[in-house]
Amino acid sequence: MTDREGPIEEATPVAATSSIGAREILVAFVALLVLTGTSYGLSFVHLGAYAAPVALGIAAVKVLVVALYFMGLLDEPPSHRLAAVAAAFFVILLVVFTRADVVTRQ
Amino acid sequence: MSEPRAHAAHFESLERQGEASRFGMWVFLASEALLFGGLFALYAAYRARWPGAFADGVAENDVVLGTTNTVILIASSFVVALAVHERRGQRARRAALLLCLAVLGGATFLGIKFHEYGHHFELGIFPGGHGAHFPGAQMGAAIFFTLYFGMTGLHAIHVLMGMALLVWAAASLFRARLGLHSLEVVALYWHLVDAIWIVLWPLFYLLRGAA
Repeated sequence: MTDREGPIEEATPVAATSSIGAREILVAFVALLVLTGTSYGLSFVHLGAYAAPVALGIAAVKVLVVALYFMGLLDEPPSHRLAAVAAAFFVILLVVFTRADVVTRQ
Repeated sequence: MSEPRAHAAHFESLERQGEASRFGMWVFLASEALLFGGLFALYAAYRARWPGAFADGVAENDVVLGTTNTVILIASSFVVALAVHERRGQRARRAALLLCLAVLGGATFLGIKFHEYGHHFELGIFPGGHGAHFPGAQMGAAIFFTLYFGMTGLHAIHVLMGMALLVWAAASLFRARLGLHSLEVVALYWHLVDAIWIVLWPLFYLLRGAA
């Protein structure tokens, strides 16, 4: 890929091509549409206390599909994945404990 | 094709340089996620406090328009992912055209969003509990719509920023002046805008039940 060829270059083989091709991107897109349709349909079903966990669970799966396939996290080294996982972890921590405070005070 | 011919001296290869720029973007996106995370936490806490007002507020929003916008953003994200794929295969022109399509998607999304805001204003729903929709002291409803305007508004600003980046990237691609790694970073930003909306959609359009 680069015009600088040398021993260091050869010692560190980094994939120049992606394992995520047009086919994978298309499958991810279709999966996202199916999940969106499912979530939309379920919003008209009376799920009671399960409505929020189900809708947010589907949303989480969709975000995961976007991250892995559209954003290419599937191909990235652990350092990149750590940034994504850390963000998700701290957001969940923030939301769960803030809500828990309100719920347990009443 | 104007791929940078050589990597900077402190990188061992062009691939490593690209990897580093994507890592930088991931760390920035993590900070963006935490920015919205604070707002998600407010939503979660206030919804626990005023479940009925929040359910009524969601029911007030147009689920068909919200869902249409969800599909539009997912499709635009798909198109941007394809653009990166095309650029990787040295087909810059096709990549540029795909980015133009994504910009169109972003513009349609904002058009629908502003139409929705306009409708809310007509009904007397304004941020901060102002307007004819909030007679008396309906704290829960006021907070719901303030969060609605704040969170979707902040997201809309991100859509606008993303569109500006996409326009710049498309123009650079047409002139064959954009490397793969720069396009990848722009694409990551657009996908984050999509991912945030994927979470906002159930919060403001789907969860109409008070439970």
